[in-house]
Amino acid sequence: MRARVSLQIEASYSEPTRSANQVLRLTPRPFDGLHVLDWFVGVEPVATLRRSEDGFGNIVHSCSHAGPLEKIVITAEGLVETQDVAGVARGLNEKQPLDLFLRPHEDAEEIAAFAAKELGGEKDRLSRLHLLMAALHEKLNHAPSDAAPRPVADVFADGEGSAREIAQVLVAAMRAQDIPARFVSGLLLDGAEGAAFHAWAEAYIDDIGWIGFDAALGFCPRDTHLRLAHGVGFFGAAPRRAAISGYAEEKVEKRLTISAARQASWQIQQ
Amino acid sequence: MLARTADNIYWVSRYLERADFLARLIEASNRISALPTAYAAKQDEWTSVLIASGADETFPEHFDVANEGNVIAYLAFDPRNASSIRNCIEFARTNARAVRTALTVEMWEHINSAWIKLKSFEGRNGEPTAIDREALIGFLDFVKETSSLYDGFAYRTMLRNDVYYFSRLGVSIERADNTARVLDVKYQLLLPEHEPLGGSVDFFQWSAILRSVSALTAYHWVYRESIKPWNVADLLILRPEMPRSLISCYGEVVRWLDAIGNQYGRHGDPQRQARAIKRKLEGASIKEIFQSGLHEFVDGFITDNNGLAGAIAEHYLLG
Amino acid sequence: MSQFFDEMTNGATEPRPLYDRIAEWLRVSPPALLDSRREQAEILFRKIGITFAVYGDKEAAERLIPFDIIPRLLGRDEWTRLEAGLIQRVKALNMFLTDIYGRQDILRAGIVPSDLIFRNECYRPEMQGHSAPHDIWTHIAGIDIVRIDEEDFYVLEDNCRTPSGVSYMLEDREMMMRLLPGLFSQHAVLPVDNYPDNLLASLRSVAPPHCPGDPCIIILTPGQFNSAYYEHSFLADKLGVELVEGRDLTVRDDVVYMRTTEGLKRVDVIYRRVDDDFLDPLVFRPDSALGVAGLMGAYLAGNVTLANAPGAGVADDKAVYTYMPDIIRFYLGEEAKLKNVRTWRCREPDSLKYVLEHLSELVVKEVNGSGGYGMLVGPHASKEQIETFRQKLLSDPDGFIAQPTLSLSTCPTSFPGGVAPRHVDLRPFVLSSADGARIVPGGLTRVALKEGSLVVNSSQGGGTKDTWVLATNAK
Repeated sequence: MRARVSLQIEASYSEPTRSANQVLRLTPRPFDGLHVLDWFVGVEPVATLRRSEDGFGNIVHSCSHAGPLEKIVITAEGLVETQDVAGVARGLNEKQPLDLFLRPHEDAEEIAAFAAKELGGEKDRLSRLHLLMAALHEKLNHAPSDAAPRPVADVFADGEGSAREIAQVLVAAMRAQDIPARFVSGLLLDGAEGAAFHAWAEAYIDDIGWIGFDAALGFCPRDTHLRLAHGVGFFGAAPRRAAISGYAEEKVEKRLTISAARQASWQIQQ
Repeated sequence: MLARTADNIYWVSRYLERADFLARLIEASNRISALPTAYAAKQDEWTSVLIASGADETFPEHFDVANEGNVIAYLAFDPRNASSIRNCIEFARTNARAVRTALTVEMWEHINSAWIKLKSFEGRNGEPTAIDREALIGFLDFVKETSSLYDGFAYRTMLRNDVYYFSRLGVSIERADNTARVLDVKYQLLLPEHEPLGGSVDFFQWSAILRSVSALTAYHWVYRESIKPWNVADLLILRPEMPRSLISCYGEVVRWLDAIGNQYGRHGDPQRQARAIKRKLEGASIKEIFQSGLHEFVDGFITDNNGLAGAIAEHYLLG
Repeated sequence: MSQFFDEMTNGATEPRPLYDRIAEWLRVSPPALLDSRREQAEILFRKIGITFAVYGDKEAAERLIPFDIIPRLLGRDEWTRLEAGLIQRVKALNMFLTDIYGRQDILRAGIVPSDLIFRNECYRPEMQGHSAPHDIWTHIAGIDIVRIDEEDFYVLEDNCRTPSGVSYMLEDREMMMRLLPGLFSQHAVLPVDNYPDNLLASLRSVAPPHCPGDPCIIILTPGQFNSAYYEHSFLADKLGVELVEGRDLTVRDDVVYMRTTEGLKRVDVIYRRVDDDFLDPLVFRPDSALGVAGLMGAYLAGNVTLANAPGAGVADDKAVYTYMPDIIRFYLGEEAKLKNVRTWRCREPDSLKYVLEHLSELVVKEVNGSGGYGMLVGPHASKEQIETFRQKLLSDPDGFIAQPTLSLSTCPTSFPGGVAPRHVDLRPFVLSSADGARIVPGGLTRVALKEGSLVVNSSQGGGTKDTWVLATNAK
């Protein structure tokens, strides 16, 4: 689908802050399922946005502001064309070996036991992944939120979590099964309630490559999933990380607008 | 120099000066409360000590009665009181440790030894009910000595650069604040209606005020007459030869801020504010001060002094 | 005691020639003299405030590391051998790190298993594809050395992150010269006091290329509650550089500045004593208040040099340690000059089986542990401790290695009322710079003060000794 995406993040501080530093992963990287026609990231007050590529191949912008500062507004917008490729993320610049994505997840004993139980004797890797996604979709209630994720064990015990929390649980479950798995952050193009950002997991299968699994929604990413970044866990793929000097509280508001892009048409004189 | 280093140096001085002041305050009040009832309005003494030391707000959270034992325990040894002598020395040492290398070896070793010695007093005097008066005097002497020696080592061993200036600046700002606090709490006693009538109980209050800023002997050298309340106020506010008077403190404040400004080649808000406060003191006479209200004058000074401390922090210490 | 190599007597009645004068001094000194020197040393150390914090021990928040006044001696010939081995080893460690974060030849050649590297938390994917300035990753390395006989030196552990202890090496020397000047002057002791100078020169040599003239060098400390804070302030003092905390720094447009009383000042080289995890809340742990937001961005942009480089910890992992002889051979085409202690990798099923069968004889260590925490010393462990470790090993074999209980050498050590042999190790400090490696002759000798104990870590009741490398040979 072709969509015009506009995301605005407004961070305001309870008292003027002396400085702020940010790292933004708000620029989608094209791959087989995604064509980026144009994309723009901006920040207000104006600051130099430096673009680089991180250790995973994500496109990163970083910037710093000197205070006193009461508010920062970040805008990411552009025109993209997505395709339903059954969740397969092919054509990215892969920089890291699979072993990195097998790092055991901390405090995931319960999740590992759950995964083992749910899978029974299923041998086929792809089927196992689908079973895991379905089982966790069943077990965990999706409560959209953009808050920083809690530890996986807490989310699992609670039975409810945001998309990013559920994605982390799924990653932990996949790794417990000795399947390379990673965290993906992105946006939903068909409108999201309660949260601007979405997240899912990707697992690796020989001969196919990385495939996305969205346990929050219960299906593999479609053309409604706009992929932004991936990492070992949430923090390596977080759409925005920010730190300020001082003790001010940060309040963040996000606004995501998506409009199905119209075909270009000639303007005609009335 | 690192802004935080300046901040730490400045606060080491402030805490040690405060500890010294608290020790003198307790000592002076101790004398009053030792007098027979006829000579002093006892019941208020310890409350006013709490107010002068800024501990009156938190004290009721921990004690019911403001009696001698409770107040001394709270002011001297209580870790729950942010400005207890114990905490002042502890904080001074923590600040010093954070910038150990900016201090001279003598200063650091002295303050570290004092901190170690503090622990030995704590063991014996931790209980609020039973204050051992003899041990208390030993402790208060130790505190005064700690501050004086630190000052002495600073004077004798430090390079005369910004590190030294910030250290001295801390002493002067804190000292001005302490003197002003005593004036603020005891100002009624200094008002004209308290005309001395031979052997008034107030005599002991006035001498206690002088003692708390170690000016009792100085008073007699300066005025060569018996203690009069307006002279006490004059001595503590306007006498440049009296090292704890407000005007004397501001002579120092301006001096050190100018030294800092000269070294950095830039004078700013702190320098301007300090000079303005000094000018105000220089232009005042004790008569006018009494006419327009001693309380208002001291109040205004405390606000100005705090304002300057804020400007110093903003300009130099936060970086 | 005959089962251990005693560095003074080597089991004979006569001392080794190297120790002639020490033995004589011990013979003629009345116990009271040693006692008084020891007490003097303690008073001095406490006065200067050389203390360290012990994790999990609130009562003794600041404790002295006991100092033993009997020096530990090495002959020049012994030192020369050791030095060559250390330089070789650190060179290989730096090449290994360059390779791991670059082409990864050693993994492709199958010398080191790739999962060992990438599943290790100390491997930092953020550094992949980046080279460290001058290909130096571990500017300051501390290599722990033990002896079990007169001939060989064994490496017990490599420390490539933020090894500490060098302040004790320097202060112990000062203390000896002050307390026992007579004994000191009888020996021609090679000096160590140029270490701070060497360190400064090494740090200057790795300043970013754009840096004009005099680089601004600083030491970054987690703060005064860190166990090694004394050392951080000591080094800042000796180097004549600012000791900063994270909150003293700010990053603007990929340039690091420190906050001074005169405004912001640009920083070029940071000798950081803050762990990777806490360096930059935008890249590593988001809850870190010790680091500097944006520091990694500045580092990757080449505007500041971090020593040691982020990610260097992947080389001092105890599991990678076991491959060091192969790593040295792979990069340098030489045999390792310093031996490795025989090590069983519990990740290998055969080894695991052996280890489980011999727990009561072995030392079992966590691959990622440090400082003697989470370590089992089989011969000294209770039945319950052994059982606890058996369970740990079974549930996470990858997390552990095992080594034989080493017969660490002993040195005479002074106690109230007497002198007795105690086990020692040695941590020399190797500096790598753009113009080569530097080591001062000596290091930190750590001594296990408890009788029979083999754990020399200061957090576990170890003490220190001055290490004298003499101008004369041991043989």
